[in-house]
Amino acid sequence: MTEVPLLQVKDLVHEFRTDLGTVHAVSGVSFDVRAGETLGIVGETGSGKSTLARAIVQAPRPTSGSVVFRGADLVTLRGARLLQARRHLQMVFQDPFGSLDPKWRVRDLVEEPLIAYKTGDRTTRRRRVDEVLELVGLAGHSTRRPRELSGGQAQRVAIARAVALNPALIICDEAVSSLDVLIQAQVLNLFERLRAELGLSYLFIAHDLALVKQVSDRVAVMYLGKLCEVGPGEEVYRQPLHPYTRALLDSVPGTAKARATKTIRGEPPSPVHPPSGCRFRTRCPRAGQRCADEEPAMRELPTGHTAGHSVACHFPLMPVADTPVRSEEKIGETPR
Amino acid sequence: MTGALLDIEDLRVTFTGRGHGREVQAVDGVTYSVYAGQTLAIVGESGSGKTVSCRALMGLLPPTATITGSARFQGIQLIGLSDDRLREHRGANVAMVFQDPARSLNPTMRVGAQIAEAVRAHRTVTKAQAREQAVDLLRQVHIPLPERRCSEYPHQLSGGMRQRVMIAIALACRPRLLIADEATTALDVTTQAQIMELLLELQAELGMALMLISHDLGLAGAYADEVIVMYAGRIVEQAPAAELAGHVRMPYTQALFEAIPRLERPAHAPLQVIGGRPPDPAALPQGCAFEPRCRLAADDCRAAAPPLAEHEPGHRWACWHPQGGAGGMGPPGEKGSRS
Repeated sequence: MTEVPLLQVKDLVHEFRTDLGTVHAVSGVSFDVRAGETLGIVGETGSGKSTLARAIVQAPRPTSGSVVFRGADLVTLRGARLLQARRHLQMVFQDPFGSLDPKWRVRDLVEEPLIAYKTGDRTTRRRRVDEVLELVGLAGHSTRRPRELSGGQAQRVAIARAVALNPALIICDEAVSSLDVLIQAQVLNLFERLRAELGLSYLFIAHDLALVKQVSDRVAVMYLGKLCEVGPGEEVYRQPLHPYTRALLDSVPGTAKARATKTIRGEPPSPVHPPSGCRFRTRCPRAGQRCADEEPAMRELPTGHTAGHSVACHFPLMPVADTPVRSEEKIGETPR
Repeated sequence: MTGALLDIEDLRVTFTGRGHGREVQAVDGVTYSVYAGQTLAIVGESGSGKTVSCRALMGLLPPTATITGSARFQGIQLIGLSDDRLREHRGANVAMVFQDPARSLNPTMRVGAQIAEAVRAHRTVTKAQAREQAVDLLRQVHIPLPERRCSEYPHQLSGGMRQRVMIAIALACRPRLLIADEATTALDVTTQAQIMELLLELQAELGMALMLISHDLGLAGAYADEVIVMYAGRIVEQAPAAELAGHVRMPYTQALFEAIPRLERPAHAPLQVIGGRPPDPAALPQGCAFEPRCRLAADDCRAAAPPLAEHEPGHRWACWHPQGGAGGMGPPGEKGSRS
């Protein structure tokens, strides 16, 4: 593919100094987001997925690596030029109330990013605010304040703020995780509708596998600061290559295996002292000496009809035989 | 039926004085039983009354709550019991594990001491014996190096570990009933699976009844024997988990099923959503509380609330127009099968 990706993240590293030592939160992550696609990132608490999201928008700036968004490397930009470059890259967070000033009215909250970017005059801005509120299904709520809104409505305001500036990419960090299922479904459908209507791309970060599958074209799996697997959503879920992805899928309640097999043991190691080699090896049923000695590189393996399924593992879970697995088959029914 | 560990009948909880003296009907006539060894899930959205109904049993509601109805635990009526008697009874029989272990644990006290304290609250043992039992309990919830963990503080443990400690504290009284109120909601999926496995293992080992209070119908269906669905303070459907997965009757349960993203669904397939919000618990409608959001609603739904009744063996629902039960994703079935 020669098409230039919308976002190119390369060798991104983010480390924090703490009393306990250096936290290796993100340790060399690379991926692309193409125009119009949704890339999902699945990871558990402590995987570094939220740090990754913030490093992409340079808040705070990563330790090293590059983040090329629409041709400009955000890591090298400063001040007004960074602000301009970031204009079409917006974020929606988990807690909508935390990101909305409780004293402001909805219309002022949505207008704020337009003022920050000195967009139009008051009349055109107000018109844009009405447009955007209509788009997210909040027409008629413009004079309310955050405390008069439900969680779902507040999240819609956050989305309206993100959408107001006509972004090309929205990073959603657990954006629907705190909502009740029925509200969550409404907001997910809203994300999908906006994608179709506005041609948006998303980087959709969440811990919930089914949620990520629902909205994503491609899915990346993150563990302890590194990506372990990237590929088309259907492929990754149907034929996971990394033992960690397999373990995650087996942990979802309701899957055939969730009750039949033992879940992975133990806890993720501390990001202050990550294991040598493969970071998952301390909990991996397939780990060998090589996994401790040598860090597995991300490489592409053919698993299905679509290209681009990559894994960072010395002993990936390869398809049992050449027999194609039909997508209707339940995950986890491969013979032991 | 007889032989139930806990029999709840027409339980009602009303909060008064909040919001300018208005009355809020949080739990509106709930009836169910829990049996020894059973895993019962109570599922509902925020504000459905699932948590309030359980806290009422534990005497954990604020004084603004008025509780009526009957809740018999092994024949003993809990409603109206004095605080002291209730505490005594609760301690000996029922334990609860909450969503946020970080907030339930004392941050300034070593883990072992907190468990030992719980042991000594329920049994007359020496300090040394309590300490020993604390180690045993930590071992029972599969915490590695329990002797060492005993002298650590909660902040030194991960979320999953802390929840294991909470379970250890809950087990200190050797409860006959363990209530897990969103106990795995804040945990990661692999940790959640570990904790659920642990709960089921302990249940089998100790013969406890287990109540799972959750907003997650998927979790409930995967781990519970029996599922109760609550909406606006009432039970709207109850069935064995396997039955419910295949034969949903109440449109609200169906809406919950359809709104959950599932692994087996293709990407970008729109989720079925219902509009609106649950009714204001201070002004519940005369008819079915779900009627304004229900696609099968008719005039009779507005006139009177449908009673919860056992329409099929083991399957209760409260609906004038239940759907056919063609399956979790099935089309709505025959209308007007009032029974």
